[in-house]
Amino acid sequence: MSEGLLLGLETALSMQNILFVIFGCFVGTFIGMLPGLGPITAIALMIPITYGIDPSSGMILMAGVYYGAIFGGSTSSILINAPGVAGTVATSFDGYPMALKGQAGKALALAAYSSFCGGSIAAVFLLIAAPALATVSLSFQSPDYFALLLLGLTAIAAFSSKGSFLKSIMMTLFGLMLSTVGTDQASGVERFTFGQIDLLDGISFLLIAMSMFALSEALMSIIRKKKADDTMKQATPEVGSLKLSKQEIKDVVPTIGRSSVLGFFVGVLPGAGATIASFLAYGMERNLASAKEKLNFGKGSLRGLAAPETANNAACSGSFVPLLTLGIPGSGTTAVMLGALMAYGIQPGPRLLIDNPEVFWSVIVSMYVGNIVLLVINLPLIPYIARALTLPKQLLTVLILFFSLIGVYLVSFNTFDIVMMAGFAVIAIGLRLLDFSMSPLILGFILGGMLEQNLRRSLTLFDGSISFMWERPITLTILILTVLVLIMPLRAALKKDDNQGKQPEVAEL
Amino acid sequence: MTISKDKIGALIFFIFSTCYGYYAFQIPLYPGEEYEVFTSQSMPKLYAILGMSVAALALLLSVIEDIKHNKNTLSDSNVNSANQNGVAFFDKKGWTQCAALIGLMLYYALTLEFLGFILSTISFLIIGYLILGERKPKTLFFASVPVVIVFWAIMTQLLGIYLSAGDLWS
Repeated sequence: MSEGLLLGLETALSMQNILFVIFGCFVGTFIGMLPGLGPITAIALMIPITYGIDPSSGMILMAGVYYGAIFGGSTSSILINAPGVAGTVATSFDGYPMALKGQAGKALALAAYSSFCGGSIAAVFLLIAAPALATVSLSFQSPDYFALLLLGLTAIAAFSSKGSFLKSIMMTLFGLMLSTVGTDQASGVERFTFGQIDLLDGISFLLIAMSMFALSEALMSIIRKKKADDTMKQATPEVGSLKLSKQEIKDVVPTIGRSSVLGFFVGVLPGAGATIASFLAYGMERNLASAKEKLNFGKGSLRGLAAPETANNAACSGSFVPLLTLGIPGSGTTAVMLGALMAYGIQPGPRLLIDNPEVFWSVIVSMYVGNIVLLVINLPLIPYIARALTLPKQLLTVLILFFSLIGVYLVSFNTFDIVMMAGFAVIAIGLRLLDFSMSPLILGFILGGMLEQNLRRSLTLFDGSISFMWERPITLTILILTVLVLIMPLRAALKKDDNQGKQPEVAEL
Repeated sequence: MTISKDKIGALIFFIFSTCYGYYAFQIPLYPGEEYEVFTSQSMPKLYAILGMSVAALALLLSVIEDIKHNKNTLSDSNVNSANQNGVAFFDKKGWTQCAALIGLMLYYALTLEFLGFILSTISFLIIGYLILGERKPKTLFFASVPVVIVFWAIMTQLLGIYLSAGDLWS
């Protein structure tokens, strides 16, 4: 492990990569701060840039953007009560009341310290857990992967917001269906191309990610009359002092410790991620608080702010565990990263540690670097970055559209892709209006090919029999887990009294 | 019966899955492939069946929900939930702007190779800003021309990526 760590340090601490982390954190913070735009959009916009650089630098840049976007989301939650991303909704519960009391600076500083601690503690866990899990997963075969992929796909639906389980399953299936467009890799047969040459290679994942997230989020922000817009116009946020007293630090240290552990483990679970982690941590902290302290929750409690902030960053690090070790993303964001890695020709999973150790280790090390950058550089600059909130939206929206379109065009040099993007953007807007969530779609789309390949291989290995499902203990265990994950929310869906569960009007993670 | 977002969504997905399923059966197979356990048609067929089943289940649940709801409440409180759930929440002007921007994207696709990157992008940005209500000539100029020139210079001069000069001029 020490050798790997050294390799990671060497790669991540090269001048070029440090600059990438800094750049990534800045861009991420900026985009994450804009209400409605989340880390998936931020990362998708970076992908065309990363094609020109080597894979480890690309991953480092994207990891930086990821943290930056979460941190940026916290900033807008605290300053204008408009969470940029779903993972920071819980931050606004106590962060915004603090800002109203004139303690915005303190709230931002606490958010940054908590994020830093959460991210760093989780990175240590990742350092220990990832290589260990990668070693175990080396013994996995196609049937196990098939089962794991099924688990990943069902879990994201199961953890979706209340009342939208069936909708998430539909979106996952839609993603899987889209993944079958193009030439079948195994047999060479054309599927769903309708004679279009441009569809022979299938639909590029970048195109789907850009149009379903970046484009549709930008366009939705025009359609949706957001109260945030009005707030943004009025408020040139007063940040104030960034200092925390010793007593205050002492109060939140145990909270940060607890929330880091919780956040990391929730993040590791496929499909759970930062949003659930932050709400769970907030709930846990409120339950643990004394009756007197409880009253303060929702009115500007420091513990209430530190808990979700720590947990969401810890969960971000946690979500890298299944991505790096099994090649199975646990969230929309890591799914986009998986797509980017595959575009480099790198297959994340157990072989990553052996075939591309520099990518594996540099991502882990860059998490520390990213956290330090956020704390040391971003925090003092927050009053200036916060001015992004007052930038004219009409300019930003058009520029986001331009960068999304040109990003996809620069990879394929085919204007048909731009037409397809417009089409998918329209579909995505329709789906968003009907309260469908996009993360399961992208996950289904990216995992669809792998699912088919592994099932095909498993069937070949077992002479066309599906007995692999029960003959291999690992496969059987994972499949039982999958069924459990599927049954529990389905029962709830069948029993529910009120199925009007609505998606939060914020970007997904 | 009320028309809710859930029902519309489930119905659309059901129709989509049915069409997808129809085309899944049209995927050509190699001679003899039909005797194999797993073919190019297998997954698409499976997805279509699953898609139709899940959509039907969602639709059924919404209808049952509706019947229950109708029994419990007076008919006058039965407001169209599509309105309730937020279509009214959206801005009419926003819709027009959004549609115009989608049209603008198609314009960009058509002109990018014909007019060339620089001209086409500058016009895309300026029209986009205009659609969203920016009227100051200074802002329109500075947020488009320098951005495009700098982007073009980075791409072509620094990174050596070819950007179309325009079929019209060549």
